[in-house]
Amino acid sequence: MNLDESTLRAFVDGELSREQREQVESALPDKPELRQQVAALRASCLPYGAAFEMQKLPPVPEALERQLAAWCAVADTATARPAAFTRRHWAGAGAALAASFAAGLLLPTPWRNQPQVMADTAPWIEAIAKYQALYVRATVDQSQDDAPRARSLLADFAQRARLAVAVPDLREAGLSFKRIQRLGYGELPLLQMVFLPERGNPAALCVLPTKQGDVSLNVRRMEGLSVATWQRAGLAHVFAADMSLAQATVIAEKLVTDQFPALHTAPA
Amino acid sequence: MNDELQRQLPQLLPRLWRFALRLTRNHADAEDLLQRCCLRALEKRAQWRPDSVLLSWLFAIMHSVWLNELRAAQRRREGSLDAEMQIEEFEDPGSSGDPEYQLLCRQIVDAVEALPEAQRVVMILVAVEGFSYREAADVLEVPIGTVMSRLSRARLSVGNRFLRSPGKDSAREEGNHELG
Repeated sequence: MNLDESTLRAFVDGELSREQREQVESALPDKPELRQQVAALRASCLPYGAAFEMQKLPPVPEALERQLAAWCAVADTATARPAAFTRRHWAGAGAALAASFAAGLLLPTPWRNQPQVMADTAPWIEAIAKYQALYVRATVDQSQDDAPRARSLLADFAQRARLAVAVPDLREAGLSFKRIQRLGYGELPLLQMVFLPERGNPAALCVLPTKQGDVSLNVRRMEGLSVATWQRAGLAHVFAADMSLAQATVIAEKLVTDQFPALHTAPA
Repeated sequence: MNDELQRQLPQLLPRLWRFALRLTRNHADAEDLLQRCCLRALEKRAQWRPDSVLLSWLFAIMHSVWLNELRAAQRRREGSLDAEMQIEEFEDPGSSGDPEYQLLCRQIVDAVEALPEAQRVVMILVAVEGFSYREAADVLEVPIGTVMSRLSRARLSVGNRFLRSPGKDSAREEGNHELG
């Protein structure tokens, strides 16, 4: 019999047959290294379950519980063949659910005030999240707020998009403005405003013009980031940050309702 | 349609959340992982057979999503992970119960957490969650012999750690970073 680690562990745990056990027992006196392994395996007979039970784990986030309830409700009402119940189906079902939530039909009131947590994502949002995921502290920690450059880029964006944008002052949320960049998505001008928290990777607020109507706040996890999106008055916004969904949602809700003062604006 | 899955899934959420936290060791990543796992399970619900153990099936989905979609992103960010987001918090030893027992519990958790990733996950499944070797093999999508081998090496490491420094927090295990 091969007296490897698995056999010795089975011996210690009493999982061997009588014959196998006797073979191990007869080999031990002549093999000190085996005795050492058996001693270690015996020392490893510990109350693992009880030990891990002592850990204080955070509770299941309420938003996730609500989200799952919503998804299960969608699954319950879906009549399509199960195999056809794809991610794309979720998006439409999610919109129908959102309407039900707004009417207070499916879940108690707290959910009505929650931003919708989305699973499906437009390509341009994905592109921004992937780009932002490459940012580390060192990307911007040497950058200094350059007010003239910021105002110049805001003016440029206003001219191209025919819409005014301001850099919000997010210091009360622990985010310092670092820099603004002009990017593009296809033919569309895209402004990226980068902020740095005291610790962790940078966050970004991106805006680009859209011809679609207003869309309320959605949040989701993408590329290891929390990503909040909304559309209002001809501008699509993406706030992407290396923080929890809950933290990002708090900041995004204030951005949506213009609760942060403006740090930089385009010159009049 | 597989109504049983929709009925049981919310009830299993706390155990899925616990596994997500222990896989990722990071609150935000655990949220992400749990969200993706539930979505994937509902998308694939036709594939679950009611005669099989739902928790194992869900853990398998979660582990697969973790390995294939999220772990690499976490490693890219590893240098900047916030230490305060670690989940290994314990009750104050003086607050209740036997302080020595609580210290032992902390040492056990530390010893498991110091294991190479593949061994750590097997220990969580078998020794902590109480999965059988077969169930753990199904979750990890590896042969049962691999589970037993990883478990044995994990137990040896933990045992040697306790033999070396009983009552003390010994050094973190290094090397043998086998990936599962």
